[in-house]
Parts: sequence; structure tokens; C-alpha cells
Amino acid sequence: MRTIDDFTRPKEYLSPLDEYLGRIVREWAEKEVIPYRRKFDEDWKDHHIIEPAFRKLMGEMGMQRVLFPEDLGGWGLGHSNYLGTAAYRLFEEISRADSAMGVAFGVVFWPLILICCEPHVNRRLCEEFAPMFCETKEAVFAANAMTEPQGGSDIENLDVLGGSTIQTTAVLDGDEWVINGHKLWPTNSGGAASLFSVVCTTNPGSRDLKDFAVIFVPANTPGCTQGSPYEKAGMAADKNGDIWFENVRVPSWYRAFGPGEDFVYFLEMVSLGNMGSISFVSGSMLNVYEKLQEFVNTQYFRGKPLKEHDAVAGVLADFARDLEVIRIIGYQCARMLDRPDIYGPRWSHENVAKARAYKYFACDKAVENLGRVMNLLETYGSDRDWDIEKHWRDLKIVQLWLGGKQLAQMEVARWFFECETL
Amino acid sequence: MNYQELFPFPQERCEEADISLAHTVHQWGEAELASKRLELKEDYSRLIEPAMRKLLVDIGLQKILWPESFGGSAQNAPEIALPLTLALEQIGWADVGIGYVFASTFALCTTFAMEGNVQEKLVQAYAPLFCQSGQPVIGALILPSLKGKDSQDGPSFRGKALQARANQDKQAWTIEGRNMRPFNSGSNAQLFGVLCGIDGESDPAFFVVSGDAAGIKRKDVFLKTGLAASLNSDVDFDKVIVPPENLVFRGLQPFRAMLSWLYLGISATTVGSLFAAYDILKEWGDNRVIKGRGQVFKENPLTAALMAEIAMDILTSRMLLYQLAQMLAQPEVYGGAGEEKVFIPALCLATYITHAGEKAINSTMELMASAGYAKEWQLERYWRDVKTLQIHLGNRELNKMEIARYFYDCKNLEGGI
Repeated sequence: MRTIDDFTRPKEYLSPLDEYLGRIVREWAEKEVIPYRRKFDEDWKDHHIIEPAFRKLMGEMGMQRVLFPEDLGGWGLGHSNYLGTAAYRLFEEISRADSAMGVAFGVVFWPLILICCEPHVNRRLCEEFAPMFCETKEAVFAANAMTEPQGGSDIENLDVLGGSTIQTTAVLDGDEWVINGHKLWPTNSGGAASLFSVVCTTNPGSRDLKDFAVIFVPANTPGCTQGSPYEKAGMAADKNGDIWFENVRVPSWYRAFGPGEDFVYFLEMVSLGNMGSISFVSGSMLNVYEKLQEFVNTQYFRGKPLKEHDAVAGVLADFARDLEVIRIIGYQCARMLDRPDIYGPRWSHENVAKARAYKYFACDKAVENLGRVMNLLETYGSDRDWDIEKHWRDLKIVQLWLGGKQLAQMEVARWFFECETL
Repeated sequence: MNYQELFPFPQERCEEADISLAHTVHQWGEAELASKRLELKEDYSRLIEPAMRKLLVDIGLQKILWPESFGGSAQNAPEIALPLTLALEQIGWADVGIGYVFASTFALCTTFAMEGNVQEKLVQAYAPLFCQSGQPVIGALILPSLKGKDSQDGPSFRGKALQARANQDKQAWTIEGRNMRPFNSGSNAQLFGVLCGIDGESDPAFFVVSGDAAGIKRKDVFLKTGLAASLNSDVDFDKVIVPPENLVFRGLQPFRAMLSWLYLGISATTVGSLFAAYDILKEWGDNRVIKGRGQVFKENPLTAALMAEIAMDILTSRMLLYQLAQMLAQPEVYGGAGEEKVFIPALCLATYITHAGEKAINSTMELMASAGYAKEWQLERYWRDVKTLQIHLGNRELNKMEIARYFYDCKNLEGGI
């Protein structure tokens, strides 16, 4: 019988760690997540069931250390030329079991990309935060605090708004930043994160991107408060909530880089965030393929397995086609981010626009396909014991984040058609 | 919001009393569910039972089919399709799951209480339950299903496995079935409608079975995507004995008649949920400010274009819904509910409406981003419910075989209905 490993990946692009990472994470998923995941929805608030699996992956297996330099206890992935493809494999394998765990794990690296990755390593901040992640067996989470009550996509919409809508302020007072503001929704908030990268402005209302700042804030800094997690349609392993910053003081060198550069490398987070989202999609769809194989082989209509019915086979073909395409696109996107020497900087507008295009294509196709697949299962399509409905709920959420589809459409149109007023 | 004006429907076909009933049901939804949104999020199961009691018992919706002599409303003529649709829209607006449970129960009861089908003994047996018990009454349907290879030796109906088998012994029937998956409410139904195979006979038989009959074993409620008001569980029938009069019908046509009524119920509930999604999006579009320039969300051309598509889906779905209601209401014009010339359009329209519902709510979530999937905004509940409702129409690809066979005169296609 065909398996998920029969779906194509561009083998010439794969990282040297690919086979190893794939194997150990798949073993972890089979043992630590898949047997328990049907109880995750009810565990959304406390993570009693979810937490041990995170601890095993991130703390004990050491996956939370991968980006940091080797001399600081990391695996040195930030210095490699296979950051994207290695991360893609990791996230995809985790998401096959649970895409919320995929995003919660992936977002640990979102702030860390800024300081751990060539060519813009901030060695001082690496040294500052490496112990938090590398000298523990506990799972340690990071979060990127960006969205605010008045809007999330507005803040990402830097080309148009230039950060002018950001309400969270950072004021330099001597050798400290004083941060005030209210953030919503970051992955790994809701009490999970130990470290935040906080998107702020040093000059409220300014469109000058030199005033756009990303400042690191340990979650236990006085004045930093996390609210309870929100209850959502899915993605129980990913906690989201409010964060309040009230006169939070951190050293001035906790700013990622400085005027102008924070904005540039923030765009790299957008590219990588979109690539990660595609890996969550293909990982989930790989598991849907497995469950679908089981269903259409074992459930009968007119004396034959369901898959032998031509009209059903048409839907199965569309699903396989789209998964095949999404996976190839995902790895292509990862490759583009691996090799700036060929494709340009990860933070270029070109790479941001293309990553957004791939992500919203993948999400639209996933939502469409999973809807059709649920129909094939009739009443079993909504039954949690078949797992497909879980992926359907989760992938809808992937479709909506990172500014949503409309922002992606505008950025893609703006780059490919050189629109000037969008 | 006055949906009657905003999303038009053929009002001239409806009586004033029908509109008034819809208004009453809307007020029920507002008082019992919509105004308690946050409580509903926290404790759905505590609120839902009293809400169902008020709707079905106090307002009396579950009494409509039954004779006045039992305390019913005696509205068992096909014309009930229009007021039923008006009411179900409003129930769906408030809670899709309640709408679905009521629609399934209604469809089951049409098989022996609807004008033209009336079976006096069964009416006498069950009318008191609906009219006098003071309890909400739920009926669950157990219909043919996709099943595993080992079921292939058992009875089947149009390609799908019949989940139960009936045998006649002297006067009574004995029904056997294991791990049966009802369409709804397996754990708490007071009434089952079961399509059973009979050894040596090609036509299955539909039985009504009291929920308290000896030999019925209900398993644990299973978790599912939506329709939380339907507490569904798999069910075993272990030598359940029913009297001969509980055999309600045999053959395809009455089975399809029941499904036509179920399709109407599913369609009306879906349209009601679209009203709810519209309300939520309207509030969002009116108040959300984007781009930091004070631009109200709905005034942005890109988002407005998608909002327009959503409105088109709601409007079209409602028009088609009332066309379906009129077809069922006027058998003298369109034919009986079980005739192919009505059943196939009913299947087409329900498929179209539920698909449009899925698309419209998907798009609404897209526009609302994280608020779309946060439980606080309630939209995600309608999204889960509508999808769950839709898949109760059955495997869409197999259903299309029925449609293609009818419209193109295909000779070998069969779709399982």
C-alpha cells in the first residue's frame, strides 16, 4: 500500500539532517502525540495531556535548541544553509500528528530567527537567551507579540502603513527601554511563553520604518502580564491570549538590531512564518491521507471498497494532486529561504510576496479538500475518532492567520503587478 | 434584522400565523440562546435542555403534526412545509443543533402522521408522548450506511449496508443490529426510525421503535465536530421486539418522502445559520476599523467584494429553500414528496444550499480572521454546525449518481439513496 512517503519532495534540496529529524520526530509523534490527541480539545486550557509531549520533544530531545550556535549548546541550524528545509521537515512531521503542536514549536524559533540566523546573528542576545532554551529539559516557549486590539494585519501591512498603527510604545530611558502596550493572540501566549519579541514603535504614528522596533522581553519581567488562553475552534495545543506591558523595563541592547534593521529582518519572520504555515498544511494533509486510505479501503459501497467507485476516486485524486503540489511548493519555498545566494535575501519583498502566495494557495486548497473529504466519510466525517475533522478545524485556522488572505492577496498583487496604491 | 425584507422569500404563500410563529421562535432564540452567548460558550449542555423544552413543549412546536384530540395542532397536511421552514430558519439562527434534532424528529414522524400516511394505531401510541408528556421528544433515524467488508454479507439497500435486520415471529417483529450509527441523538432519543433488512426480501422495512423498548443498548456519546444538541451515540438493538403496526412502510418511495422532509429541514436550518453568520459579519463590518485611517471594514473594496458574495449566497439559498418548501407543500402541483420528480430536486437543492452555507461561512471566517475562529464570537460554532449538518446529506459523490441518473437517464448508476 502507498504511504505518505510516496508523496514527492525535491530530494536534491533536502537538508543533511532530513532523514534523522524525520525519523526521530515521527517516532515521537507516534508514541507521544497520536495516541492522545483526541483528548487535546478538552485540554486547551491546562495542557495536562499536551505538556508531556512538548517536554519530550523540545526539552529532552533538545529540539528547542536547534537554532542556537553550537558553542552555546545549540545545534547551529542558524548558521547552516538548510534552515528552511530542515525546519520544514520538522514542522511537517509534528503537524502530521497535531498542527497546533507544529505551530507552537515553530513559533519558538520566530523571535530567535532574528538573533540566531546568518547573516545577522546578534551574538550578545544569543548568549543572553541560549541558557533559557539550552540548559533545561523543560519545554521553553517563545512568542512574537505583534497583533494589537485594533488590528493584526495592519501591523504586518508595513508597505502601506509603515508601522503607523502600532500602539505599543518603546521609550528609551537611559540604558533601558520602557515598553507600554497591549498585545493579543500570539502563538505561545496565554501563559506559555518565557520570552517575547515585542513589535513596538519608538515614535507613535510615525511611518518612518526606523521607528519600528522589535525588542526582546522575558515573560517574567516586572510589568509583563499574560492573560488566560482563548478558547478556539481548534488548535488546542497552541495557546493564545492577551499580554499587557506596563512600564516594562529591559536593557537597551534587548532591541533586536536598531533603527531600520528591525523592520528589514522582521520581514524575514514573515517569509519564514508563511513557509512554516505550508508545512503545517502538508503535515496535516499527510495524516488525512493516511486516515482516508484507511476509510476508503475498509468501507464498502455496492460490494466494493469505496475507493473503487469512480466518482469517489475523482475526489481522492484531487486530494492527492493538491497534497503533491502543496508539498513541492512548500519545499521550494523552504529552499528559497535556505539559499539567499540564489534567491535573494529572506527578507526581500519578492520572497515575502512569494511565500505569502504559496501559503494562501496551500491553505485555500487544504480547506477545500478537507471539506470534500469530510463529505466522503458521511456521518463519520464529523466523528472525532476519525481525526479528519480535527485537521479540518485546525487548517482553517492556519488559513486565517498571518494577516489573513486579503492581506496576502494585496501583497502578492503589489509585487507581481507593481501596484502603487494598494 | 428583518430578514423577510433583506433576503426576500415568497411571502404571498405564507399565512400571517406562519410569520407570527417565526416571530415567536425568533423571540425564543433571542431570549434562550442569543442573549446568553457567553454562558452558552461556558456551559452549553446546561442551557440547551431548557431551551429545547421551551421551544418544543411550551411553544409547542413538537405538537404540530398531531390531532387536536391529543392536544396537537393538527397541521399534518403538506402545507406545513412553509410554516415549518419559517420556524426552522429561526431555530437554525439560534442553534443549528436544535434545528437538526427537530428536523430529524419531524421527518421521522411524517412517515406515519402526515396526511396521506396516517397510521392510526401509531398516532394513538405516540401522539400523547409529543403532546402530553411535557418533555421534549427526540426521534433518531437509523438509515443505511457505508460499512466494512464484513457487513457485505448482510442486507443492503441501494449499495449501502442496512444497519439492522428484522424478522417476523408470529405477530411481532424482532429487530437486531449492532454498532448502529444513528443520524442523530442515539443516546437520548425517545423514538427510533430504523430501516431494516428482511431475510429473503429485497425491499427493506421501516420501523418505529420506542426508545424504552427492551434490548436497546446505547453506547457512550461520541465527540463530533458540531451539532452539540444532538447527543449521538452508537446503538445496539438486541432482539428488540415491536408490534406489527410499528412497521411503517416498505419500499423506496416512502423512504424518499421521509428524506425529502429531512432535506427541507436541513436546508432551512442551514439558511437560519446563514442569518446568524450575517448578523455577526454585519456587526464586524460596521465596527471594525482597518488600515489605521479610520476606514470601516465594510468600506474596503476587497472585503466588500467578498461580503457581497456572502450576501448572494444567503439570498440565493433562501430563494431555493422556499422553492423546495413549496414543492413539498403542493403535491397536487409537483407530485408527492417521495416521487423521483420531487425527491431528486429536493436532494439537489439541499446539496446546493448546504454547499453555499459552507462556502459563505468559510468566507465570513476569512474576513474575521482570528475573531472567526475564537469561540467568543460564536461564528465558529455555526461553521462547525453547518459542516456537520451538510455531511448528514450523505456522501456527496454518491448522491451525485442519483442526480445524474435522473437528469441524464443513466442506466447503471446508483447512489445509495
